[in-house]
Amino acid sequence: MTLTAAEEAAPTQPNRARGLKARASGLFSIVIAIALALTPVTAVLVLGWFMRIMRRETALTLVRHETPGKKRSAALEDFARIGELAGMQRFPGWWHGLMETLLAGTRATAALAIATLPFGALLLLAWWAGWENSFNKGYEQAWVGPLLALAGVLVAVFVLTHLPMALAHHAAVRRIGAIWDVQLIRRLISRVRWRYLLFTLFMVVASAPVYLAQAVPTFIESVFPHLATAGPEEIKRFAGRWHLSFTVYLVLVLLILRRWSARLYARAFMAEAGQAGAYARLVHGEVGSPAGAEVPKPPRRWPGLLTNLMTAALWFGFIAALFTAQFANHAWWNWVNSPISGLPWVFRPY
Amino acid sequence: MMEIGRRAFNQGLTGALAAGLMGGSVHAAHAYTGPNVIIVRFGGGVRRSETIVGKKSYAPYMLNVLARRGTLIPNMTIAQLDGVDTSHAEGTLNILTGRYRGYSKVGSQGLAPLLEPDAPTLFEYVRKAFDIPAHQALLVNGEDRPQEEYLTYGGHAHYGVSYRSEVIGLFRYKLHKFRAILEDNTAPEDELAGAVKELNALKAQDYRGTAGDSSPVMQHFWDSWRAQYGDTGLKNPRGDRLLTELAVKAIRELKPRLMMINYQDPDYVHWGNASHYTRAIGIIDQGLKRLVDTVDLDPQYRERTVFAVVPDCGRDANGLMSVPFQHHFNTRSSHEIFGLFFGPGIARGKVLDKPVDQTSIAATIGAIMGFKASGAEGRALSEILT
Repeated sequence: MTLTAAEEAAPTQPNRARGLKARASGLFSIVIAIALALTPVTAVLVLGWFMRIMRRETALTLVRHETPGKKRSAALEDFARIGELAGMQRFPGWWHGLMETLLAGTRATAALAIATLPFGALLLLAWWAGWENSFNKGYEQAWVGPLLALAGVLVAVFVLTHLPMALAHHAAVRRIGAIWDVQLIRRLISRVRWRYLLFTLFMVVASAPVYLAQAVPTFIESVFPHLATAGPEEIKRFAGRWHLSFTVYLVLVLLILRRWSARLYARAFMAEAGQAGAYARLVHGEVGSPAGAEVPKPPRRWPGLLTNLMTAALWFGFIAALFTAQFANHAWWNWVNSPISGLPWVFRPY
Repeated sequence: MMEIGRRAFNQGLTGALAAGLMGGSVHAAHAYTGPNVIIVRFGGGVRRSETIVGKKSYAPYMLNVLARRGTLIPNMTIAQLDGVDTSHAEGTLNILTGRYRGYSKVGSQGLAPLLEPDAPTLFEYVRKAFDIPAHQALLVNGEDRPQEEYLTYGGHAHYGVSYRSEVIGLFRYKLHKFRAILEDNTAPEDELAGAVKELNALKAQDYRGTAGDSSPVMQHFWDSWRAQYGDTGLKNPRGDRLLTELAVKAIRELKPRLMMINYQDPDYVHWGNASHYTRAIGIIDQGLKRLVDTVDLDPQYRERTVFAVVPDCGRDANGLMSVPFQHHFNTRSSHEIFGLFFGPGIARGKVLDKPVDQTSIAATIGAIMGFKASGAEGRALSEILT
């Protein structure tokens, strides 16, 4: 079960009934999220929902670490006493806080667009220019496509290396520009470098089924021979089931990954800014150690460089997989959005 | 007008028109007096829907003009057999040998397999049966697929390299150009060094060792090409328009009796731009018009030339893809192609509406030209005759 919303029910209810109700409520929220993730417009709401979940997870982690050994349920009960956190005691649902979800989704979509559209556009134009030139045998402009591709890959690897931490930071402070707090984000990554590397590995591996969703239709008749003689209606029904299956996967895996990245962010923030009142300082934008407090030692540089390079290599693999999937089954949209790192919507061309 | 006639066609089926079919030398063969044949490979891979289906077609000249001049075979297919791939070199060899799986893979260049035919090709049959020089049994090839320059002869004991066709394409032109630069020896030293390097790189692609010195006729052909377009490679037509230009020049200067033109640009659709596919079909269609116009104006070809138009393979019709035009995964649609024959002796305005195999092309051309393609699996299509 991906939810730990059991702690959120009213304390007057028996534990078992509380847990069941919370689980049912959480499951219902996930089902709605899956339904909303089926179209690109409503996927903005799902992105906002994830931002709220991340913010809550960050707060929960920070509060729990202020008192080592504190259980999630106890930490959640503490939320009611902290003004800034009172609204996050319950697991984000869809009926209450819909406007907040919409605002969070819109902010995150804008932030992601600012961060990822430049390299997405470079890759898209590289692909277009390269093959357009190749088709026309334009030897004179043969350099355009490869140069754009190289620039796109370099920018993509740089941005993606920082994006999960940047998005967690954005979710916590709820500022579009937070995604460009590059210095801070780099410091935060360096505080949890090995954990961040492991997280990146899981994120890249988790993207494989999404790429398969794109590439496998190319040889779908080999996998499902009956489709060779299927009519348009049957193909459409199959396509609907195909899209739904991978959307279910996407929402579930993002529930794990987004919360994981939020916990990493909280851990990094504490390492960077110190423990006491960490969340209160974070929401007030006071990133750094309180006056007079002992400044945490900066992490050593060489291990950081090593993990950064390894993280970048993993993201390079992610981009290489994107190119491979595009070779198999090209779709322009997939250059500008990756459902795992961006808007949670699996492209559906049919 | 030259007519093929059923009697000649039937004689061709048995090879009775040819001399020295078994074990004879090329010198003992008869002079060829039959119709010229031009095979247009409508490659690389096209679907019926964008070529021969009414208003959807991007080949209006072929469909609305040429189909009326001959016999359209809308239900031609590549057989669904184990080991039969729907791709360009494979399809080309199906056409040239009349056999499925009539080739061996001898290596690869990048992602492209290097194939060698195991059965004789049409070029070998015709050159063994008749006294036709290599430059009159021509393969016109594109620059993107140099590995297909070597599909011109098989490993059959009674045929083989002595009966191979000549090949024209930019690959051969570059070989000629760099050899000429080195022979001339007047270019600056760095250019000469560059020519040596380029020539060695080209030779390294010649995996069957047949791109040696060309005949005086071919040297003259390339000399005149060089005089017209120069050395830069930036002034001659490009892509499939280049193939049309080379074929037209060949018709005028080399007078081929059998010529195959390997169009290929629709294959660019692999990379996601659907307009490359439809545009390339249009370019081939315009190429067909230019070829037919050239033939119609040339007394040696007018009413003496049979055209056979056939794709190397089809493409997918995959409703799950935004650009549903791949062809490597053995889908039903990638096996579905078409054929079009027109010229003297071919029934005009006819639609042969029954299943026909791609391997029938070789047997049919053999019968038209007067030799038996003995290795072909497909049958000769006598129904297309008047």
